[in-house]
Amino acid sequence: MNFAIIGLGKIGIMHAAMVRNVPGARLAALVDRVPQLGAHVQSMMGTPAPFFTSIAEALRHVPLRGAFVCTPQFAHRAVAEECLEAGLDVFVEKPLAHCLEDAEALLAARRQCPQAVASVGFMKAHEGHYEEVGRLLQAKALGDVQRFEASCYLSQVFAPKKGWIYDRSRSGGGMVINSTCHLLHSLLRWFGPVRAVTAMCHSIHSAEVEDMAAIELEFANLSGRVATSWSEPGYNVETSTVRIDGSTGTLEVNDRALRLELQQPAAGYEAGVHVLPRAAFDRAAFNLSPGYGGEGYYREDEDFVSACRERRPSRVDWDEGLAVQRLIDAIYRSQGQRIELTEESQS
Amino acid sequence: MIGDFPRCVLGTTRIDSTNQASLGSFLDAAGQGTLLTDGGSLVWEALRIGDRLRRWQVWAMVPNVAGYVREATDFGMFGAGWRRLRRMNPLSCGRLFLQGLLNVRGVLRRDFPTLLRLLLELEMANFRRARPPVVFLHPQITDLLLAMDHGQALQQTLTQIRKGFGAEPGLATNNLGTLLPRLYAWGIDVPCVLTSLHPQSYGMRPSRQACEDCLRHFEGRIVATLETPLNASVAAYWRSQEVSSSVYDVAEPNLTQWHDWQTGSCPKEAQQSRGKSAEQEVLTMGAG
Repeated sequence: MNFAIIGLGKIGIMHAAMVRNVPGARLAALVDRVPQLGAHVQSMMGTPAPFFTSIAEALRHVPLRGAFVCTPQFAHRAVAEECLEAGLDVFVEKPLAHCLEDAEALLAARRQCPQAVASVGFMKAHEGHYEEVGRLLQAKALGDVQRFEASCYLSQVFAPKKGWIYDRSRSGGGMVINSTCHLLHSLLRWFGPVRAVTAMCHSIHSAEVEDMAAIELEFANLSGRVATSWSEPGYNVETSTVRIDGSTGTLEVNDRALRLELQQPAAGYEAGVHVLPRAAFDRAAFNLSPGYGGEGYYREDEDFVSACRERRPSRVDWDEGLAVQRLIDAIYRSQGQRIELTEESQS
Repeated sequence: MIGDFPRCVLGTTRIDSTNQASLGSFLDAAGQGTLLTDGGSLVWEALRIGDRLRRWQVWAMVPNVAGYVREATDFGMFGAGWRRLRRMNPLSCGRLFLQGLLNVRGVLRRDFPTLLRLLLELEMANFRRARPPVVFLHPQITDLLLAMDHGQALQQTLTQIRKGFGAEPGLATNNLGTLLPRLYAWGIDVPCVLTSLHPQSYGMRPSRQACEDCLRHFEGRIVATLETPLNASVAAYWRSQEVSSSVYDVAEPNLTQWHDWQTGSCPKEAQQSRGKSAEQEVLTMGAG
């Protein structure tokens, strides 16, 4: 099956490398508006994939099954809609869009093409140790889950910066929409729809976007806090930590390990403390960067390719992308006020 | 080609500003040895004190991808290169300038093999005084070229390390079982490979079996890395796989562990045939 990579920045290069190694997939087209970027990415390849400056041009020359949309998020809607109209299956990098309006429009477009596979790149959903947390929660290994504490930190912004990421009209926001969205997606997957949000976002260095946020999330039967910042020293790599407390156990997961403390045997674990390295759950056959989410990149691409072949929904569909977008929108609107979200708006 | 590898090499990927002082104390207490670094400033600052650089042999892992990507995110690819250029001494700057002139077309076209060659020159300028006898290509670059099926660029890099820097070239990888067959297919000989080896298959991609099958035919030296603590079963497994050296890489190195790694992790006294299964590690886990 032939696939195209649209948008040849860092993430586009990462997906190009993955697609070349996922069984059953063929990297058949590179697409970007900048020809020099195309030549640069082609020069990374032993046998370069053909380069095109538009999707239409690529479609004229190569029969494509699907496309990976790796452009900045402000361009996701236009590019993804064009792909859907061309009958392609579409993988969109996270977040689904830079604003709720575009994300909702994408879902509407997707409803016009129900046969299309539509995936969004929340890669933590494909990381083995996060999957294990989901399995443990589903098996009620911790008993009744009562509370969680989560954080996502990165050392990236310590002075005003330039570029589309720091321009709210193009990125949609700062740390929350660009990085914390992965963690928010995992929380939605584990705990279900959010009932209410109370959040405070702060700009320390950036003029237009938030550098940090303190978020309180209320789910059906539990609540918890998320602290996040990209202006925190000591985090060269984006680092997420989640602690979940239940009536019969506690769980802590970060980017290196899963720590489980059980009062009684559950879900295949004996009672006691278990500290398991992340590597114990890594199922990626190829990993370009274990420290930078390489497992998730490979497995999300593998899932998308499999879904295209088997004509089934991908594991992380655009519906989930829209749910995250609605949550992010509420976080930005909150400004310290409690905002209630209906379940229908997240399903 | 250098002689025997040290049994254990001190890794520095987990050293940050909070434990820089403990690195210095460790270097003094351990006396001498070999240290593997990507050339981060914290490690150089520790090595410059006293006669540490004379007592510690330095192996290089280049390019420092994480640092470069961070700077490229902030300042663009050329901006990141310019910032690194400004940190170089005039002699290295001149050498790099000459290389740039000779490759000006490739630079202007942003040809990746050309940029990689210049980036390695840029990074290795930091290492000139330490004269590393072994230089590994960073796993993110090895594996990127592997993923992109670019054997020619890999070969060019190995030649640059051997001839340009006078060091034994190595490839660090997180995809051993994919890399070695591809190297055979490309006809590329690599003297040493740095990779994860673990009896529970941690970090062994695409599978432990595939990696072991490849290692049976590999004639170079294996330097093993580990994400988990060293224990008897890992040591036995490394012996079974004829590991030459291992990387002890923790945030705060201590002498007791260092000695354990030197006596337990490397296999000269107990060579076993390849492929023999090691004793199974007892894990505390019930699943996964």
